[in-house]
Amino acid sequence: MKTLCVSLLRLGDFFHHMHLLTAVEGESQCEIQILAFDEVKPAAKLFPQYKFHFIPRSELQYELVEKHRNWRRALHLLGTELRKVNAQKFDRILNMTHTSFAARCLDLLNAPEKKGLSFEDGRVRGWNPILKYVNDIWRNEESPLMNWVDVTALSLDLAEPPLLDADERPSAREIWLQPLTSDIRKNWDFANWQKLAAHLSQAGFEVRVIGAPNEEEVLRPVFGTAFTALTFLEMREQKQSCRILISGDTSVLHFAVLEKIPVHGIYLGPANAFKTPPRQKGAILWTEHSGFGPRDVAAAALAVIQGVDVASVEDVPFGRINSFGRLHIRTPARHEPASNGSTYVKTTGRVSTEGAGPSGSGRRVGQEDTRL
Amino acid sequence: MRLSRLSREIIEGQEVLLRDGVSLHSRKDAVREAETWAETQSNALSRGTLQGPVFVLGCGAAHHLRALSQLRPELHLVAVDFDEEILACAGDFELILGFREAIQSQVKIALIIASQRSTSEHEKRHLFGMGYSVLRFRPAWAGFEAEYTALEASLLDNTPESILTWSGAGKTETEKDTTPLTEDEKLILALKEVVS
Repeated sequence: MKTLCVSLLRLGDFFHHMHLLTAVEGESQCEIQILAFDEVKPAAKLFPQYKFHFIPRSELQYELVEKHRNWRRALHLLGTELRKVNAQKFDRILNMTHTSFAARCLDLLNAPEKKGLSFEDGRVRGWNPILKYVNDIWRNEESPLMNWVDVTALSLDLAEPPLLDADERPSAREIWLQPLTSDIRKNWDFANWQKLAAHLSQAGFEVRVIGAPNEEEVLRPVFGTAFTALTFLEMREQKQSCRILISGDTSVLHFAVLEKIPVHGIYLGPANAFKTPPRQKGAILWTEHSGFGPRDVAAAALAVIQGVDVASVEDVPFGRINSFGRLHIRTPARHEPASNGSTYVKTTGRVSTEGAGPSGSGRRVGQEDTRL
Repeated sequence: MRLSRLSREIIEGQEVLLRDGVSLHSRKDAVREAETWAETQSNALSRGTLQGPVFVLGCGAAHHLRALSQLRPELHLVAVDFDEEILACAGDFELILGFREAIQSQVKIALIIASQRSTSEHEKRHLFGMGYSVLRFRPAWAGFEAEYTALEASLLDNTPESILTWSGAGKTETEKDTTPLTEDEKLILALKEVVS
């Protein structure tokens, strides 16, 4: 069955959709092609098993918004692209993107079977109870029971895609840090990343701060020689040297999950750890409300590497992806105050967090942690 | 084509080009005016990945064309004027007969003497393939404001009919209920989501 999967969101969301494609492939023998925005182009060569079609979103916006351009060119561009897609004569179209734009595109795409939200001659089709739930309830919830991948699979009658396990990398001596995200509100302060890097270096690991080649201008002055520009392809080629990736909620994090790199995520601002967590069993997540600092993130990473329960070394709540793919917030047992009365010292477990302070009440995560 | 009369005058030591007595650029400092205009236009053009040639409506003495070309040497500029006499004043730019020819030419600054007919739909379909920008240099419109306005509206599809098409207001409620959507109407509905 020749199937077109519509994935018209950002790059990170596309990597989430890769889990759904696994479910589609598992469902039947079918040839899958993907319709995506052109910002996904860098990822296309990572998945040579699929044929891609691209909609040039930024070019469409440029043609529509700039007063010196003719808006009808946007019509020309979109129409030409969708006619090329139609020439493939698909048996089935799955709309994995429940946006109005994607649904409107389905009004222009032809196939005997269409699943997911679509329009037909300008009227809504494909509306089902799950989509209604997503639209009316799920999107307004802060901590829904189902994450975005699961709820999308359900809306398309697909089997729930399996959670991925991370590969063990006992000999790898590098820890990768990915400080930048696509949204400034999701970024953790550079000073925190620098302190995290210092803690991990002290523990004997080689720290590599990674970023896209076009991020070098921002990251190199801050992180110096620790910075390495990596494309997704290079990330795949060099992944065996990475013990753990610590990253904000960004496409790099979700790509690392597909590559089975163990991940720890820092979810700040609009990043929702319940809705779009890394689909990796056991991944550790830090969220805005827990008041964590660089030492907490470092201690958790070292605990995971040493096979110690993170809860036994942590003083602040942290999240962990359970076997159902849901974020489980672990609130560590109360620790006894240290003799100096101002800090807490964890005495059990093999990872020392000596010097770590209590969870910072009222401290805003995302800004520099002046405590450490 | 309406007849016009170009003339030159020396005003405060500067040569000024006039059409029917109206100057086609600043009387005080034409070069500075051109440079300011070029900088503004260059900024506007930089907001995206520019595709295709840049039509500049209004040639005049072409100070602004030289300034923009100097600032953005990679641009393929096509100046448009309604006045054939302008050729003698604008410098050694190559005269091209039509929009398609101007685009296909490798000339860095081409000059079109526009006829009164606007570009045809067929011609525009061809132009859409590569895309183009339209800039206006209004001082040089003197004497041909109506013609330039019509040409600009045609090149940018800002005509009242086009606006009705985009807004969907060209159909009655009954027509909306009973007539299937055309491909263009569906595309417009999708594109509205891109910029919403």
